[in-house]
Amino acid sequence: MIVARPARERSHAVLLVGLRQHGLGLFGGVIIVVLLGIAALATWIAPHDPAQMHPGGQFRPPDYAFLFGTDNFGRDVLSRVIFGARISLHVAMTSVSVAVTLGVVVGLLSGFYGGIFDLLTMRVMDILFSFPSLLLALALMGFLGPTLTNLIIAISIVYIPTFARITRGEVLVTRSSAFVEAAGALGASDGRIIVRHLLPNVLPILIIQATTNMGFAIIAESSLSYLGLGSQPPTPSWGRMLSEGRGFLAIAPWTAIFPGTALMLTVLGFLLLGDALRDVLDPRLRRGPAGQRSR
Amino acid sequence: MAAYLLRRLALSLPTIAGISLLVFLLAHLVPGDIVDVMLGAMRTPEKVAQLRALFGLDRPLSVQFALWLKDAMRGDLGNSLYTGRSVMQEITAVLPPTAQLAAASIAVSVLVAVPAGVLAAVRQYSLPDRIVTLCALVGTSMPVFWTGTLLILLLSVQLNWLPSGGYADFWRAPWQGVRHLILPAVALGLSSAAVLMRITRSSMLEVLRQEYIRVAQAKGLSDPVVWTRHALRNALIPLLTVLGVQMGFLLGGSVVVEEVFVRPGIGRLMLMSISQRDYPVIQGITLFFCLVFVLLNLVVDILYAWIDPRIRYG
Repeated sequence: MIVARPARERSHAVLLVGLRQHGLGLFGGVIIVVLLGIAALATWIAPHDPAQMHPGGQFRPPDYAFLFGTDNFGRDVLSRVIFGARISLHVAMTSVSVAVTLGVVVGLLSGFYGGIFDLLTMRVMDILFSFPSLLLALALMGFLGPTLTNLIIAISIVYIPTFARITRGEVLVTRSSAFVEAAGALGASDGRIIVRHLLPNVLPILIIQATTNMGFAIIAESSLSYLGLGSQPPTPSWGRMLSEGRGFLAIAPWTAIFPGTALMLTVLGFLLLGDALRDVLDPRLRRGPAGQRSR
Repeated sequence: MAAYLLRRLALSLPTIAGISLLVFLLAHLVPGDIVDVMLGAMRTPEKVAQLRALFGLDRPLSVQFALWLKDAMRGDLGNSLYTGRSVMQEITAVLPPTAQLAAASIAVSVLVAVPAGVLAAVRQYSLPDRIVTLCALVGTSMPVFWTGTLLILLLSVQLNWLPSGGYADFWRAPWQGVRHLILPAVALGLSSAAVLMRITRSSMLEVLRQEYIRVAQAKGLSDPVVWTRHALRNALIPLLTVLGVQMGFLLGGSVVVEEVFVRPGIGRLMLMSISQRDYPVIQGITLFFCLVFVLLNLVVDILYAWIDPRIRYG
């Protein structure tokens, strides 16, 4: 007897098979999984306390005791890189989640109801889009003050318009589909149509965009931290580590090289995964590369 | 073309008005009262009242915005709380280094991205194509400050070819000016080139599949002539749009690059103003950068319509 598998299980299988066939995407996925593991287990796998200063151990080159060497305060660079992953992922995940949630709500409502709400919200989104993204985040941080929460708020605000526009665009296309009209004719409420019929159609494209935006959010977080506007000392952050290492490149290049490489690999992982998801989840989107939106 | 120009200009006005409103409201995001923050420990009720009246903060928000906008339209963005000079003076004093950096980085970006993208497209799936695609992917993943740090490490620290930072006035000491400009411009340009490379490649691939390219080849034209005179011209059209978007990245990136290379400019002025809580300067620079961004996109749109007549008659 043939038993049909549930649709959700089937789509998971399609996703996994698709990703397995996408070599680079798989590579990206592995980077992300390893990074998530490192961030989650940082307390146990870091060889030293990231804030602990080792007296007389400043600028120690990489060796068995300190695999990535030590910085100008004698702190273990490897431990700081490991804990830095936590900060980058925390800021990126939280800000992208907030941006997705708010962007989707705005996009769903303005796409579904249209009218004055649509006009007003989309004009606000257009204005936010007219700001160079890093500059908007910088200005917001300048006025809000340099704290981790404000950093998350600033990056979220920068990315809300992307998700609002994408969601609205998809809703406008799906709204006039026969299945949505049929649901309305059967007496489904607006809320039910939005949540049960429109939202599932937007999800694949949102997953793709959110994955790519995770990479850009990490770049934004590290850039602001590099400029001294992100996480504050002694919290280890890759951007801040690079900024601190900038002054000692001639005598201790490892203080900048290791956090920089970790940062680049992480962003690369998210971009590769985003590209692969684009190919697997939505073949219509193969036309453009990831990251056309200014970083 | 004139009608298109007017229509496009008219469309920019609501955007500029919206940007102005948002930039004005940014100052109201300061936690607590902005006057309290400015006065700090020197706060007395008299001084607070005096400053509130001076900045017009005792009036309704709409009136404050109207007055601020009226002044801004005349180029008066207020005075720096730190130096007392006008914000416009502060900005124009450091404009030349930033303008040089922006122009040079756009040049680097286009000079690297277009030939590399074309090469990758005309030799699709070859080794050069794979190298270009890999470089574009890695380049997109590299924050501009990381690219800058690597360049300093290689070309300044290891090879001692170029200065690792600082600035020399281009008009007084041209050679030194160029030497100090190369690394920042390359760092910023390469970060932007990564995106442009991918667009050039995909755009060229699309054009190379067109019928008129086959006709040109059938006529016996050499490959370089077909690629440059027939394919590239049309492939550049989408590139222009992306270049407009990339301008925003270059403006934001210039803040970071100026910090990496300890180079004076509007970006460093903004960072200094943020650390000094010099709100009128932060507000002024944000507005200035946004207006430049809108203006550059306007120029790109006009170029776009000039190159592609379908746009202006569409």
